[in-house]
Amino acid sequence: MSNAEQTLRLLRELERLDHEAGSDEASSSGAQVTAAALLEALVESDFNLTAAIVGVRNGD
Amino acid sequence: MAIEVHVVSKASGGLKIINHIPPERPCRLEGRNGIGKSALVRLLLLISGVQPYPGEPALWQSLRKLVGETEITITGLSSKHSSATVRLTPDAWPDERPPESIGNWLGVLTLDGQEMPAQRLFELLDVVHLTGTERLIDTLKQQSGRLAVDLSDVADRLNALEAQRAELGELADQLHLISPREADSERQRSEQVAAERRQVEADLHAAQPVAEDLSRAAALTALVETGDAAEHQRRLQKLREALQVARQRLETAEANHDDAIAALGKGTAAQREVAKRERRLGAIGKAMERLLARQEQLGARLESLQIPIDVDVLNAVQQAALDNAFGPALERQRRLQVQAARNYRTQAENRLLDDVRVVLDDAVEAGLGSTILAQVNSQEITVTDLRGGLGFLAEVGDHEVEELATVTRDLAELTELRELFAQRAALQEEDAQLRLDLQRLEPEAAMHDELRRKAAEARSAQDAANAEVRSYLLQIGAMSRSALGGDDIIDVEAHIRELLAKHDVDAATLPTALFDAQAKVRDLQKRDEDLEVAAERLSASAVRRRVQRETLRRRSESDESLKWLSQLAAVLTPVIGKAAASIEWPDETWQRLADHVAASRSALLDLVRDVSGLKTLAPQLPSGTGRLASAIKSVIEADALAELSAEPIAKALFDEGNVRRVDLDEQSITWTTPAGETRTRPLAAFSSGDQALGFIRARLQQIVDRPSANRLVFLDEFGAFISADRRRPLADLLTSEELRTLAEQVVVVLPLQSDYASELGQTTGALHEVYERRARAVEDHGYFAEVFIG
Repeated sequence: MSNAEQTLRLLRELERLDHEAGSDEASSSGAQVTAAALLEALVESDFNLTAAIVGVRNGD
Repeated sequence: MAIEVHVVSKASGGLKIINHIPPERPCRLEGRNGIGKSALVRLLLLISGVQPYPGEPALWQSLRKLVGETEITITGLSSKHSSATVRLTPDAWPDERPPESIGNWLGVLTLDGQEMPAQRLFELLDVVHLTGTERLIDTLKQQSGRLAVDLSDVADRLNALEAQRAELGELADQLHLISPREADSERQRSEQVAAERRQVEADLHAAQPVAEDLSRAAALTALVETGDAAEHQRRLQKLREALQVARQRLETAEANHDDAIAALGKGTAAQREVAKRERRLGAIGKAMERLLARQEQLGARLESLQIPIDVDVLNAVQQAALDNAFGPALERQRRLQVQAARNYRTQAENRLLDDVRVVLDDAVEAGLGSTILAQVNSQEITVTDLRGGLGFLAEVGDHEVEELATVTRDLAELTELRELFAQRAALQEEDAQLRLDLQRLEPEAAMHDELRRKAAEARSAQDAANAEVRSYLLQIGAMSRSALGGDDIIDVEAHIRELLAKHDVDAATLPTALFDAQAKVRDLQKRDEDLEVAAERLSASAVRRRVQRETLRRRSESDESLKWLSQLAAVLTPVIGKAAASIEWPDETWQRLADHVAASRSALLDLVRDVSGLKTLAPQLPSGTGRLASAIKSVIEADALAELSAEPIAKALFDEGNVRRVDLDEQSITWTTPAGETRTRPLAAFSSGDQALGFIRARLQQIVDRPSANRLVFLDEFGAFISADRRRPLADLLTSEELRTLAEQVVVVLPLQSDYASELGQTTGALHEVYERRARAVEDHGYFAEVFIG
């Protein structure tokens, strides 16, 4: 498992914990990009930030 | 046949690498500390394609620097190729972070003498390094440490994006500013400002007449209280009559002076010189009289600047008061001119000018004010020039708007006063010089010169008449400004009562009411000015939004670093991807871009924060209950559960049952036996004796379950586990049928167990021979390697 994959697991676990704690606030705009989703996109783009932003999934 | 390893190395800087592992299986590799046992294990890991120093850049850089020309040869391989030689090329190795993935840069590989890419060896060779001190709790700690390494690597990569993160922040702010939602919000604020301004202007319209009426009533009251209005008129009339007489005297004095000068002008050269100066003095006197009369007419303006009306020369404070009055008046005139011009132009013209204005303002703010934009008729036009001249239309006269006309008159009067005092100062200086000249010329003109004496007397008489006229003018001016204009005292009192009744004010409370009314007007004027500025700012903001949208869209098509934005726009609103490239993006696109970039920026901040926090906590098994500690524990527990659930370990340690839960907080493991019984035991219970051997057996069994043709297994740092009474069981285990397929070579790495040379005298027979061989090898190489029999 790569470094990024392990980090991704930790971030998803954080998301799960946040969700359980009810602290995941929906943004006022409706668009939502999670830290885990962004890291996933960064890994896919070999840490090219702008490509990751274009490719990242958002929750809207 | 077991694998054999040969090393030829020119490592430097104290780095030692043992040079031989014989083809004895299992092999006992025993030697002094620092002789290079671990270094060889690390190099073998590296040539099998595994990073030996993950997350340890200092160690990696040290190995790269010191390993030098090193050649490793492995024989006894069980595959298409029986031997492999790798000549390391450390100069080509990455020199910063330890690379996770090993590439062909590693070195030059030959398989059976044939050169191949180094990565081919990774497919052939499997090197496993097990540390004998490992226990269950250590496994979990190592897992935590590995997470720290993983996080550190990701944190490094995120840190490398720092500059891009800052740029993203700026872009997110810009997109927010130009988003339709922000435009709506500003539109609402504009409407609020406009509504409030209308109300303030209405209030001002109502408050100003009240203040003016009360001010008039207060002034009249003061006049009534200080004297009789009819008497005032009589004194004024007398002063006017006296002025008339003084003016006649002045005319006569001037005529006498002119005659005397004319007579002098026909005399000697010296007399003509005097005449010339007397003539100029006469002209100066008239000019001064004219200027003084005008100064008196502008008396109200002077009083408003706290400058006495009859002042001759302005002192520094008075000059500053006059100069400072220009700034606010000019600014007000500029605003009113711009507004007047705005009303005069069409909407399209205003839009054009607004766009240019915003662009120019931004350029000035960016320090580009002196940049030359154009050359028109050989005249260079800078950004500042164009900005200064922007927005005026010659067709709009200052008289077209009442307020503008007023402020223009104010400015004209201020300008006239400044020039007037400058002229007066110059004339006074010239007058003084001329009089000095006349004194100097007196000897040449001769004391008994009748013409000269008459001219001097006429000038004195003229000076006296001038002073008299000036005095009357000042007195009349002062009285006129406080005059009642012919009303008698009864009428004035009636008028005062009328003014007070109109605003429901008692005479007794007039001072307070006047103060309040004037304060209210001042407050409203201030608020009106503030609102005007706010409206202007909001208006500029709307224009800036339009300009920035267009600029950003164009840049996203032409600027490589921003092309991703147009790609994102097409992803978020596919409809624009089908439209012509030059078409403007709809509001929906801008809003989605702003939202997505803002959300990405926020996610990036979260990501950097969380990775940094996790990285800090991970090196030790976290014990807290915070979200980060909980996440780390949860992942480690899940990994441990998966690892301990492997059949060999469950069989060795958990009654062949099912591992249910690993609890880091309680440091316990829970499992169910095949009989369905649930058992929980502390991790520490698996740390010694047979349990430890059982654990090692299980780890080896796990390795056996992953087949590999050419595997080297190193059992390192077994310390207490390899105490004399436990070596035999380990040797039995390594040669047992169950681990037959473990590896082509198993090497038990040990620190020197004894001083074999000094113990030779205490041994006999076979043991003596063994000790003798070991002592010689240690003496020659610092280590020995032989079959491990326990």
